[in-house]
Amino acid sequence: MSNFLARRLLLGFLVLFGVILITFVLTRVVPSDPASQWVGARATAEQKAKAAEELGLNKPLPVQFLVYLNDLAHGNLGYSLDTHQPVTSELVARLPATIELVLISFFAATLIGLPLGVISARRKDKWQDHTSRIFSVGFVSMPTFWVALFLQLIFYSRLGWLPAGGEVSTDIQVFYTTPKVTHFLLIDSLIAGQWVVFKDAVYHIILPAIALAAYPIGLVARMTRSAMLEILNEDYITAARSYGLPERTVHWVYGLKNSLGPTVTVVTLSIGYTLVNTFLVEAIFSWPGIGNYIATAVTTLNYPAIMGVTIFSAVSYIILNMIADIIIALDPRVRV
Amino acid sequence: MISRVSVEALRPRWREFRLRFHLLNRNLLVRIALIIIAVEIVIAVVAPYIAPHRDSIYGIADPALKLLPPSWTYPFGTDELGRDIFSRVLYGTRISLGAGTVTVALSLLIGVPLGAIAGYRAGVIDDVIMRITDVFLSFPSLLMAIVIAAFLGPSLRNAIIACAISWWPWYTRIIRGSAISLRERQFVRAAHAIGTPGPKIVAGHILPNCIGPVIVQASLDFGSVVLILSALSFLGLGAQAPTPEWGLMINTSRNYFLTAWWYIIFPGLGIVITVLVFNLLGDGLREVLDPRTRKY
Repeated sequence: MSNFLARRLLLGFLVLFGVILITFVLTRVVPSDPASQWVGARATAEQKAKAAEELGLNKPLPVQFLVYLNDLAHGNLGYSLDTHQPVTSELVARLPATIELVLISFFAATLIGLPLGVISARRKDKWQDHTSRIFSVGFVSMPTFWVALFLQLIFYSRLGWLPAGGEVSTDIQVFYTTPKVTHFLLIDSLIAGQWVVFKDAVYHIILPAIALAAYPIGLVARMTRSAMLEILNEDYITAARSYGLPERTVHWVYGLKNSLGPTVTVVTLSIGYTLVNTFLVEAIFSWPGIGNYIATAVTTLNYPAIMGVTIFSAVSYIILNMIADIIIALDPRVRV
Repeated sequence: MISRVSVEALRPRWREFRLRFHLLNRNLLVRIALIIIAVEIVIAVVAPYIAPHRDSIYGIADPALKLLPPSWTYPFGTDELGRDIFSRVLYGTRISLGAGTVTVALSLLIGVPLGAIAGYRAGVIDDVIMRITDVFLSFPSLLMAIVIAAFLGPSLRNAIIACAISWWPWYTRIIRGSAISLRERQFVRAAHAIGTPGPKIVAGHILPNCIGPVIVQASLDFGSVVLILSALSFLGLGAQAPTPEWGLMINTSRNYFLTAWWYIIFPGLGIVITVLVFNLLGDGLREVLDPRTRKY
């Protein structure tokens, strides 16, 4: 097992290096000029030259790469071209909101998707199966940004039940200050006992969470269903039935436990897609997370910010993949 | 000139193909999906002839007609420049299906040969190709597509390139797995023993036998590619105005959709239906091609 871990870590580092190399190459073959963007449109030629020197653009490429690596090792992701603030601190400030949203979405997705898949496999080819399959394949086919806009249209514009965006209403924000213990607004407001803030935050997180959870719900339901169908043909299921175990136990305990492996694999594969969906949903709902940050960075072509978020996303993607690989390898039937 | 020998060799393959197609058709959902795909292809081809307001695509817009709700003259309403949304959605079929086909074809063109080579010739070449594949696979594909499109400049062509670059590793992995297992089979070793050159073995023996999973994956991927291309256009990194691409239309509708609901619903439905039918097709293909879930 430790051998496996060591190999995975080494592979992870190699891949990380490859990703950094690719992002660096992309930053330097950029057609636009970062120096001019840094000093603004009305700078003189000497100011631009000075900026180029400051940003280190005059040195040869390999030297620039080493400087870049050194910066990364110290956690310096460069300075945003818009605000001239370090990208790292801007990312860290926005991270908790994104994590909050992603966690709640995945929680909802698992809570809804797993039972849906199990029921679908249990009642195969009956109406529950067909409805569930149509829903799950439908959810997987809908572009998340469209679902987000659609939800805004129905629940904000037509029904007026839920707010259009932001993490918390502006009037609540003005009157209440929530002490930042965990930096997660939902938890912090609970800890501080501010029920009004909590209720408001819940209202604001419902729509983005549903929009983000749509795709994973469909994915989890489909994978669970197909994995369960395969497992239900196995011998140990027949054995469990012949022992007289109730069908419920057979399905929900034996079937579900063994189908988690492929489901985890598929969910891991979808993390990359969900990552970018998070960006889109945050942009649409003005959710103050890193997704919004990169959405504005992409439109203004703020390269250090784009690179910063890319590296951060790639790193988290690699780490999550490693965790998922380890979880899958915990299954004793998987030969490591 | 086709010799008698190769025609004899083709006939069982053709028969098998017809059997598979027949099995595929038995599932009602797949049949509906195939019909809708055929309809979409037809729409894509004849769109210039059946679109009611052809100048809504690249022609001059009439601002007096802006944001009209659906009516008989404008079945899907008009957008903020007075263009007919129905015609634009029809033309969008051409763009999405065309771009999707090119992207998947490019990915296959890069990924399949690499996978076959890696699988057949184990050793250093295999390791190198697989490490490169791993690096590309470890990068979330949509993110890589965004970064590439952001740096190459926003255009549909660059979005296609970005998508293809992020997608080929999947096929390489699939083909490599199949190639490795096929490499040890008797007929491949026999071909090698009589001196058949490597490329001919790969093309003639290995590739035809591992196409199955690739076809399933490509069909499912077609739907995902359409989703990703529309997401890129939504971000402003794919098709540019005035191209009638569905994702781009949804993006421009963001300022108006709260009152002009038709502007966002119909292009979105276009995307959903297209991706849905290809997902259904891929599911059906997987059921047919996977020996464990076949019902015969």
